[in-house]
Amino acid sequence: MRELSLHERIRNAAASQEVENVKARHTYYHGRADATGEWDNIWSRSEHCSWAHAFGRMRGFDQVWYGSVTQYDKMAMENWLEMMDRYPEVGGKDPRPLMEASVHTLVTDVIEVAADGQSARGSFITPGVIHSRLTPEGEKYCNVLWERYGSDFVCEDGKWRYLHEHVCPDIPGKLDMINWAADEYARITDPNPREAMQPTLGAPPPVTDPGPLHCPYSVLSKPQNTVPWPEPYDTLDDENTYTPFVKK
Amino acid sequence: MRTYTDDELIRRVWDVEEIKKLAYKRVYYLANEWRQKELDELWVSGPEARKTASLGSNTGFYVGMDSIQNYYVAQRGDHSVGSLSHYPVSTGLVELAGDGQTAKGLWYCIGQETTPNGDGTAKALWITGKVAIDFRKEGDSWKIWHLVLANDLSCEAGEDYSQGSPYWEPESDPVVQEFGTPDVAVLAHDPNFNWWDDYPAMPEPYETFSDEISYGPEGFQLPCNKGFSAKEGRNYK
Repeated sequence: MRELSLHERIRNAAASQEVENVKARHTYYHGRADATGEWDNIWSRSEHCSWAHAFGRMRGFDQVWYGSVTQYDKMAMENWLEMMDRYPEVGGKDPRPLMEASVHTLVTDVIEVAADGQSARGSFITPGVIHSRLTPEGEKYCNVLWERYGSDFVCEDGKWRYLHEHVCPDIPGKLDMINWAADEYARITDPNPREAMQPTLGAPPPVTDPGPLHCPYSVLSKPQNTVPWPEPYDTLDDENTYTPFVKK
Repeated sequence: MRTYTDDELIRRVWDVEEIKKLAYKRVYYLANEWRQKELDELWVSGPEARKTASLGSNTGFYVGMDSIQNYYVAQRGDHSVGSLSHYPVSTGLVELAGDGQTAKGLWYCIGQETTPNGDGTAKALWITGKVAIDFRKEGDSWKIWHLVLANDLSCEAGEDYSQGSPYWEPESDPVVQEFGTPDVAVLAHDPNFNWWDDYPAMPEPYETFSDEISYGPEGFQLPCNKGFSAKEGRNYK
């Protein structure tokens, strides 16, 4: 990366803090299952935006919106309708946060702002908790989910916004009640085939780049460095991104 | 949106880092059970700010440093033997006011709380929740002014959280019992509905501090639609 002037260093230091905030806002929006708030307020509307998980990668704002907002809200509404008989007090409340509090806490940030100051890249580990009290089954739960994130951001009209997100689930399970290594061994050696615990809610949405892009822990797998930390870079391009750009 | 000179901007960057360190240091003070020291060294000391300082939780707020000290230190007595609690904060979101005199921050804590039972045994809990703080600049230093610990769940270590009543019941919640009877008793965060009440909310960029955006009791507002209490509308079958 080229040498930065003092002015550029100061600009990028401030940008790094702004990017931290954008990333944290994702967590707090998602904790309320407020997908509308998240995609409306902190995402670029670019045709290049993308959102990826184990199941594959959605590309372009419209596909991301369909998978991450429309389909997500649908699950929340279905969950709400199923809860009503057991818990009539949920009537009149926003169904989205009633689905669950999916809190992907952020630690171990490595953030690089481009020399041109127009983009930033970050990798994070998230030791998260996903909990809900009132459920259609009548049983509260708290799951833990450890994941890695690779995130690209762009500065648009002076405001930092998400461009790419790549979520890599590593360990899902119940709070304080799992042994992910023993459980996985038991699952794969069980004579009766069993599905692994799903790291996402509901059925996978339509994607442009099919998965699997990252797989949760297995006794049969090596660690997957799917979203390596960003190195210092000059500008967002195919060498420096968590989603290669599609050439037209 | 304001624009800043390089000199102003780097001072703001510096301030945000100082604020983050202050929030992190509080975690270490608590891990060492340095409660009085925390109040003396990390919280506001100016006469006006001392009056309006607050410490909040799901069931309300203690207001004023004297009242906070009474709950946080004096009433507890010395429980340091057999205590060891970590409330590490992550997911920091810090907004420094345009005027640079105050700041607001939000974090999430996945922590553990171990406290003696008084008979040689101790109780170990997993505990999670948001930590929201208003900061105020005093001279060249940043200080804690209003603090809210909005508990989402507590679960005895080694127990299956899914067992038992799904309802959050303040009457039997150890965190609520420990919090006692605050000066301003209000159901600020009801975890029965996850984050539906959106309290405490994310800080947004702002120019100058005002009561409306405070994490103190003056900034608390009931959710705009009805049916806030879990017990309202629960009993029709």
